[in-house]
Amino acid sequence: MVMAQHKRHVVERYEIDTLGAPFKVVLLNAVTFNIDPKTGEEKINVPDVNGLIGAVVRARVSHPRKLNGKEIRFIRNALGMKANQICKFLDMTPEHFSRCEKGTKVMAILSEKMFRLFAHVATYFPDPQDLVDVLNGKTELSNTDVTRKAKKPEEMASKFVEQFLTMKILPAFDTAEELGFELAFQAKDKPRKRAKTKPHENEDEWKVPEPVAACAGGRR
Amino acid sequence: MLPQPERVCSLETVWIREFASMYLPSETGLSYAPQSLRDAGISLLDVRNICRRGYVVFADKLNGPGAVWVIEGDNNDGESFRLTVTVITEQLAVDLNKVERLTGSVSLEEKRDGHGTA
Repeated sequence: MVMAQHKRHVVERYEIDTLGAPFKVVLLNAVTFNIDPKTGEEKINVPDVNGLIGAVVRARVSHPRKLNGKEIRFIRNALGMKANQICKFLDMTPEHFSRCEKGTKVMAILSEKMFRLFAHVATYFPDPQDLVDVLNGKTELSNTDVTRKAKKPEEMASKFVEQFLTMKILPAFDTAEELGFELAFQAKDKPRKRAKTKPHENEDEWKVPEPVAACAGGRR
Repeated sequence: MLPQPERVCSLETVWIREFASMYLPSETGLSYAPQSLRDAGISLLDVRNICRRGYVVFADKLNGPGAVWVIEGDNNDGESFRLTVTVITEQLAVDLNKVERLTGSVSLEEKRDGHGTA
């Protein structure tokens, strides 16, 4: 057997420093740790990596602390999108966006809100390119998987208002206070077929995270 | 128009791209050695992006369950990498064995367009 199957155990708290996020991400009771019997190498197994990346993006864009360049870059890469696609949506020059990513310029509050909104919605698409196609009128929203994912539209709408429309982005905060999120993987107990599942069919999910150390003012 | 090279392992490429785009249940997922990612200077996000947009350039069946695939792709930021993975398709399990950074290589876009060197 090639895959390591023995000495597996679930780690209670695992700070995933290899995710590529420029802030702390802690996974609770989700990561399986094991030792490869052939190489003796320590290996971890992360369930639903794609779902995890989406959850981390949603966590960050829902947090009021102003996004820095590294975070903007992380979010763009998490969506798997090129800078020019984002620029088109934000009506921003690629040069300015590039400077924002490098941290030499600051993204305007309104643009940042639009970017956050875009990122949040895009995580619900299996391929965020679908959202760009919807926005460009190349495809209908009903032709994508996103509508089937939304099970409680009213709840989503109120969260949307709370998180984006009334959110006050905090440009000033204590830099000593580290930003971090804890995420727990919620797996349903009932037996399930080992098959690929579309987002709307999937019952497992990364739980809505809570900030570990919120910046001054905290979540509104 | 120049003749276009036929891409090898197209089925495997489709599979790995689907794997990287799907929401997967808890029993399955990606297995990797964190230290190997740190050593190669690559993140899990990069690995996901490479699997999502890259190409399987080599596939070989193991004598046990599973197969070894080599995937090449860029991390969405223009850096190209080669991943060696063990895949058991029946279990939707992918085990990352090796990560290499491709330096000075022809960009994958150029390769796709048939302008790259063989």
